[in-house]
Amino acid sequence: MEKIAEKISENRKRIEERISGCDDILLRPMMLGKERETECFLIYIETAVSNLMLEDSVIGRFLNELRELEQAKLYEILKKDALGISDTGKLFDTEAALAAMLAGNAVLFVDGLDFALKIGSKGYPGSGVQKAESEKVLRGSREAFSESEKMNTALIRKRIRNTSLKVEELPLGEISHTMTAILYLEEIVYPPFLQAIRKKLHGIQRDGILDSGMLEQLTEEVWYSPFPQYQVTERPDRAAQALLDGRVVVVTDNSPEALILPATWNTLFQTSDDTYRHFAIVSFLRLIRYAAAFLALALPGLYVAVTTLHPGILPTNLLLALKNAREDVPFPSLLEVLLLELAFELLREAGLRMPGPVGSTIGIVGGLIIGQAAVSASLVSPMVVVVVALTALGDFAIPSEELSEAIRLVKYLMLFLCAWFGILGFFLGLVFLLAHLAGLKSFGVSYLAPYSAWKLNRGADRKDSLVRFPLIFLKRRPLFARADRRVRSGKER
Amino acid sequence: MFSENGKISRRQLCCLLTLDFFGKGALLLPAFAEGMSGREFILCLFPVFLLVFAYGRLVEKLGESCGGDFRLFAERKLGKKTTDIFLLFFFLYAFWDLTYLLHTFGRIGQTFLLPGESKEILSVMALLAGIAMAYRGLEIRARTVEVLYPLLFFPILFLILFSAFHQQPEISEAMPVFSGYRGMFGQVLKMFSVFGGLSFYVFLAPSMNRQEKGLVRKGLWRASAALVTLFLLVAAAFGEEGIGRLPWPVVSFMSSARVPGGFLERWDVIFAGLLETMLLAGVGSSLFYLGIIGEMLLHRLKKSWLWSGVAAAALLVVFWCGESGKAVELYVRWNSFATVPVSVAFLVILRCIGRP
Repeated sequence: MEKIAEKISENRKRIEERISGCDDILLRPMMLGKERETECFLIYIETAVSNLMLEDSVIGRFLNELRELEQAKLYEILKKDALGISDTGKLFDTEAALAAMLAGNAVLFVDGLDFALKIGSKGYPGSGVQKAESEKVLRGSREAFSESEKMNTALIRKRIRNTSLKVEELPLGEISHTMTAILYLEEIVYPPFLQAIRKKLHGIQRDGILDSGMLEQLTEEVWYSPFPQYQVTERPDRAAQALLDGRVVVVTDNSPEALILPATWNTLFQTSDDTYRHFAIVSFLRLIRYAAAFLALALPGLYVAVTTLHPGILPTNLLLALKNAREDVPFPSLLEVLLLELAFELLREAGLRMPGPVGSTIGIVGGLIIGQAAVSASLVSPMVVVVVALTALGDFAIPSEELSEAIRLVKYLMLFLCAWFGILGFFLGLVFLLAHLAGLKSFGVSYLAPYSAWKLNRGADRKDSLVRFPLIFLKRRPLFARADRRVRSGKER
Repeated sequence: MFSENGKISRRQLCCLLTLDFFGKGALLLPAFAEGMSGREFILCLFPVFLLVFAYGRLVEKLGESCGGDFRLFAERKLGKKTTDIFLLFFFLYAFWDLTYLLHTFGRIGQTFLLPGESKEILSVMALLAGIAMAYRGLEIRARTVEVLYPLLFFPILFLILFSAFHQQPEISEAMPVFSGYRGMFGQVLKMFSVFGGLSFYVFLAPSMNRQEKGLVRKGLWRASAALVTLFLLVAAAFGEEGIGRLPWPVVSFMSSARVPGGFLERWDVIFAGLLETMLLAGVGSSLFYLGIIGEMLLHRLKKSWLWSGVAAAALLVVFWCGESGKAVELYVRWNSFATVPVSVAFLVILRCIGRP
């Protein structure tokens, strides 16, 4: 590591070599001191520290102050960092200086000093605090994370005003040096769990981390499972609630989604406003969500199983109606369902990629016209359209986007099993699925907890599972938290 | 962290035992009722369950006293070679149990659910499901069964209840003659062999919390109470002679179920599906014990090879059995008259000489 030299010409030569070809990085030489005898230069990224800011900002006023000082006093002030400017720091090697500059700060090199000074600035351009788009709620904050790691940690800090909330920053990506922050509540988090997360993150060997999604894939334990082993959220209040439960939040720069770990099947069915609303309403909605997941997973398969292999279990009227509806359809039930499901996937994907109003129109037009046309042309029966529509609704009702995508995928396996083995295929699929989920862990926590750990934590977790007990009865934290910090009462401090 | 300690909870053990024994009992016990009257069958059930409870208590105590490693304990008391011979009997019990379960799964599936499907294919699927549950260890098997338990057991209980109100006896043939208490004694022993899997609890004991007592009894209570209720209802539905005439009277019983406000015309398909899934729990159990005993006997063999060999051998036997006559014969001859009595004798001896 190259130490910062006292001779400014040496520093300047090194810096110029490193930033050659980077036209967005500016090197601004200047003279400080009353007599303008002290040579120095400032390096910064043009868009992170605008020229305007230099003249009329902390940096500008800082430099103006330095220009008024005698040389001896100048060195004294700089060595002691005595100007009282917030967010300054000494950097003793070239790499650290460049890293600070690349993080959006201005870095000042002064002739005669063996360190550079980092001067905080507003940083890279960002989108600011956003409105939650994919995690909409009826009650609660509408704020969502932005793409700045600093902003996102601040949004969480706003909700947990306690020094026990620790924020550990580390750069990830050997080339990208993407700043990532691990947030946890020191008094609540289970220490071995935190160490495991740190170890995982420090063990990442990759040229660049561009989004939290990459982080997720590089650190999850079972890479081949489509089921999410982290919870992803765009909501600061969701992240804050997770911290209070003893979980850890990982925020990545340039990513508006934070990762919450560990994640279990149960947590993926919870939304942030579950805590804000009446327990009866929330319990009802939770049951609806589980029913939705069941529909999304099993309805197409069960439809094919019953109509193809077990028609005798249906009431006669329904059976006749189905038979009449399918009379002119040339395809077997399995193919009908597959065609329509794949058509729906195409519509969904096309709707996502198309810009703004066109995208939503595609969904409506596609659903109505293509569905209606297919029925009129006797390519599919009306019942299949209903089945596929219900399946899609079930899919959308699952709070976790990642979980709903996994269920969308597994649904096809279930469909084939049911088509081949009927109701038995459904049960076989259920056993395979449960066996797979039972083997999943999220940082050591069983994925199926609390359903597979019913009495752990004195049964506290099951009070916030399929149904939610009243808040006054939810006195214990979930099993993620340290064993001696499981009680939520404020009296523990 | 929380879940990698190799232990299972009391609730998980209870779920394992209940699903395993209820599934097997509901489908396998009537196979031994052929030629018996309903009265005899029900009468036999009570001594069977008494024996099961007594044996359960014995293996519980043995599990508590063996100090965490059953094999080491047995070797200390009886020597390595004797222990290996007895372990071989355990292995054979699990193997015949597995083949019979796979065969039964295929036959019931073909008879009640998928008449056009090959029963061998169904047996293969059952084997794959059992491997999925059991290959990665006890904790995963226990978690899977714990989650499956409320999805299977409670719907079955409800269906049994609804069937009780809508039973329609169909069989009306001459009543079998009471075969006498000697005949019943033989039947009791044969029916007890269905629960011979209790012996394997000694291998689970190290995975239990040593402070917990009476771990086996709760599961046995639930399974036996549900089975006795079920068979009483079935005997009431089909009369004295029906229970011995029908191959799976329990499933036939469900075809008459009418759920108030229910949507479906018939529930036997659902019931058969639920029972078959319970059989999968039994398949998983057998495979699991074959795995751990196989590792004890053939510790140089890689786990994947052992499991592949066991699976292939089980399928070969299932295919060779063909119709149920051979499968029942094999099960009765090997398990009822050989492996189960020897396993029981082994554990009784160990309990007697291992008593402090």
